[in-house]
Parts: sequence; C-alpha cells; structure tokens
Amino acid sequence: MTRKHFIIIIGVWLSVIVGLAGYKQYTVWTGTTVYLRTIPVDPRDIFRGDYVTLSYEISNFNSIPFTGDPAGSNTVRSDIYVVLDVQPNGIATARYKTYIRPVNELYMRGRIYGYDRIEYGIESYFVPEGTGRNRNIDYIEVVIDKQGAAVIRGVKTSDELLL
Amino acid sequence: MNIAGLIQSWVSRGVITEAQAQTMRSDIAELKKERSSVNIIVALSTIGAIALGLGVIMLVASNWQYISALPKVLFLTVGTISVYGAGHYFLYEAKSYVHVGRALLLLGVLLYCATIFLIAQIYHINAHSHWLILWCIVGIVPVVYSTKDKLFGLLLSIAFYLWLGFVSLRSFEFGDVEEVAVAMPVLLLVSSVVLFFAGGFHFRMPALRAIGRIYRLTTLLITGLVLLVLTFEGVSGTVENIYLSDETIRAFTQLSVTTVAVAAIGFILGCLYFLKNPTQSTSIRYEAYVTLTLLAASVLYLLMPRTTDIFTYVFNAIYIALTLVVLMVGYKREDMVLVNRAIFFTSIYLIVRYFDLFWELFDRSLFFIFGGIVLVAGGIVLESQRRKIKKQFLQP
Repeated sequence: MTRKHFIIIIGVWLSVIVGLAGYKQYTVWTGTTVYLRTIPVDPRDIFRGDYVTLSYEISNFNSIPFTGDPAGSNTVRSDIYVVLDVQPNGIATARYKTYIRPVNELYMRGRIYGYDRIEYGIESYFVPEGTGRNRNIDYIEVVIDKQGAAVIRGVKTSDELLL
Repeated sequence: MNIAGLIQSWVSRGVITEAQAQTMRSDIAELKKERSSVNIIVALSTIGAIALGLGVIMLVASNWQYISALPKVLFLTVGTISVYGAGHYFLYEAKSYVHVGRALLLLGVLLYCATIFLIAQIYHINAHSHWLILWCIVGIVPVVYSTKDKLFGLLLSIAFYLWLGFVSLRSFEFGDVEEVAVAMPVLLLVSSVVLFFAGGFHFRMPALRAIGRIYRLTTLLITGLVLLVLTFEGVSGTVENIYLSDETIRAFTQLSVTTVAVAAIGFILGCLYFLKNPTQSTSIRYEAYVTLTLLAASVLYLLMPRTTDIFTYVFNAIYIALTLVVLMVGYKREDMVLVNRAIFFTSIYLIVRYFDLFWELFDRSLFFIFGGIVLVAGGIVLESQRRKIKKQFLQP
C-alpha cells in the first residue's frame, strides 16, 4: 500500500464520518425545535447498548388527513410529508399529510411502512446503560430542518413541559 | 509423504548427502520455530488491537451523555485515523513491526466502523439501520483493495452478509408474513452467487487472487448452510392455506423483484465469467452448471405456486451436487480447504437427514444409540478418507 492509497482511504473515511455527522449536525444547528407526543417501548441494540423504541401520535398514517391527490396512496414505502401545527408551548401536532413537498410550512419527511405506520428516522432514543426500562418519556424534543429531516435532541415528561 | 520422509528418501536415493540433509532438517526446524513465534506475535497483537478497540468504544459509549456531540465525533475520528496511520507506518513505511502494523490496521478499520455506529448513537439514528453497515462497507472496500489482505477480505464478506440481513429485515415489510420470511434464504443464495462470480473475476488479476478466494470460500459456506435449510420439507415444501392479504402480496412482490434482479446480475456475471475464462476447465464448467441451476431453482421457487414438494427434492439435489463439485474441484486442484468443506457439508447433511427421517420412527433410546454408532463410524470413515486425500496431495 502506497502513501497515495493511505490518503485515499483516510479521505473516504473522513467523507463518510463528516458527511454522516455533518448532515445531522446541520439539522441541529438550523432546525426548528418542537415537542412530539410519544409512546415508548424498550428493547436493546446489540451494537450500541440500551435504547428506547419510540412511536409518535403522528406515526399513525390513518389518523392524519390527506391533502392533495391521494392517488398512489398504496405505493410501497413512498415518501410522505406531514405538515405540523406548533402550539405556543412548542408541542407539535399533525395538520395534514401529502405526497407533495410543502412550501413555507414546517413539515416532517417520513416513509410509509405496512398499512398505517409512518417512520421519520427518529424511532430510537439511546439512553445510558440500564436506564431504559425505568425511563418516563412523554414528549421527544426534536429539531426539524427545512428539508423535513428530524434529529432527536432530548426527552421530556409532561411535568417538565409544564402541562 | 511429509518433508522429513522426503528428505530421508533423497538421502537413500543418493540425491543429497547426509550432511546436506542435516542442514535442511535444522533449517526447517528453525523455520518452524520462527513461524510459531510469528503466530504468537500475530495472535497477541490482534487480541490487543481488538481489546483496545473495544475499550475505546465502551469508553465513549458509556460516557456519551456527559460529552457533547462534536468533541466525541472529533475524538473518535482523530483516534481512528491515528491508529490506522500508525499501522500504515509500521507495516509499509518503516517496515519494522509488520505484524503489529497489520493488527493496528485491523484496529483502525474496526474503529472506523465503531465511529459510524457511535455517531448514529449520538444523533439517535434508528437502531438496526442497514445504511450504517453500508457506510462501513464503503470504508472497508478501499482497505481491502489497497492492502490486498485476506483478513480484510473476510471482514468485507461478513459485512456484506450482515448488510444483506439488515437490508432485508428493514426494507421488506414482514410483519407476521411467514410465507415471505420463508423465501428469505433465496435472496441470500442468489446474492452469494453474485459474490461468488465477483470473486472469480479476481482470479484474473494475480494480485487479487487471495481476496477472490476468500470471497468464494465465504459464499460457499453461506450457500451450503442456506441450501441445507431449504432441504427441509417444512421450509421449501407445500404451503397450505396461504392467506394472500394485500400486505403479503406487497411484501412478496418486493422480495421477488429484488431477488430476480440480483439473480439476473448473478446470471450475467456467471455467463461472462464462463465465456471470458481462457481455460474452460472441467471444474469451471461444473461450477457454472451448479451455480446457474441454483439461480434457476431459486427464481422458480419464488415465482411458482407452492403446491408441491418438488422444490424440497430440487434443493436436496443441488446441495448434493454442490458438495460433489466442491469435493471434485478440491481434489483436482489439490486444495485441502475445499476437501474439508465438502466433508463438512457431507457430515452436516447426514446428521440433519438422520434426525429428519428417524426422529419419529425410532424409540428415543434406539435413535440415539444407533445415531451414535453411525456418527462414530461415519467420523472414522470420513477422517481416514480425509487423511488419505491429504497424503496424496503432499506426495510429489
């Protein structure tokens, strides 16, 4: 292996690492913070210790009204956009869902799984070893960027959110 | 005949003198001692590298809530590059500590993969995401082809199968669709064929032969084990009362389309490999027959209605054919690894079929007594055959 090969390898590694972390950090830096109502369950990840699997009120496909052309609603794993209403206390609820990317709205980009599930890429919350089962989680603090990508920032209980 | 016997025969035939034979014996003994101490160094430095890597991962993972995201990413990135850089220096620049350098390269690659998973943890990216393994593969590929080291080839093969498993589980909407889950091994089979022929193309470039061989040996093992699963009537036999819900059809369509597409790639690669191979030897012809039959059977198995047990027989026949071809190729090329693999396939098949056929038929005590006798006798026969073949290979 020459020095040139070494530089190529390090270049590829840095691109992947910086790309992966940078993409998420961009959302954290530029996004809008909201709170999403959640229902946690608690499995374990073989690679990364304890995590809590999360499901949201806005994860239920059928509970959100459609806007626009519903044709192709049976499309497998199509992207879907869920437009949010944010209350003064920061809690976000779904206003409608659409297959067309919304303009000038706060929305989350999700994917349809099965009949009635939408996943947003924020369905795992990693917790310190051994604390997952006893954790009380009512709301997830999420940052959403302009492209609808979301990153989890933290968790909140109803009391913490002063409801 | 072993080396000592060979040297003795040269002495008795007057090819070399006793003094020369003595020098050869002492040189060989010295070489063996050297090889043994190198093996210890390799083992120690590899274990050390893995332990160090695990330590760093656990340190970051256990303290991740106390350090903010960017310093953690920076720490992991700098650590990974430093370790890999040190490995590169020892192995290729200074050439002073070659074995330690190789172990550090391995550690660097493991740390790179760990960094990806820890970034996913830091930003709460969904667990079991196949994208993370794909990013690991993207980083391992250039290491494999620049070092041309079998170890990284093996790592890449394992990552490939891991990725395939995760991508299947995440992308196909199984739910409780057993019918689709049963068809999953087929995707593994056709993907193995693709990797097998990809490995074959590596043999055209002398520098990449070792890597190609690792790909082929890994795919051979996975193919054998997956085929073994498909030889059971309960897996590949008739399915009664299939409830074709929309979800079943959707999941099955996804699986079938992906599998057929991968099979088509395997078919094209197989044809190219066969046609472009200048030798067109018997073993290459048999390899092509078995793999193309495997592709055809896999696709038909997916697309035809499961109203017959015919595929159970077909997969049994392919398994036996695969074992025979591996044995034949191993024998022709005097390759003990292939012979051992064929013996492994035979042994495991006999055990599985014994349990499959006689479990319900015999009284339990008779089942185990008879089974024990068959296993011991079979073991003796197979081991003596293996030794005989090995002895033949070592003969000049």
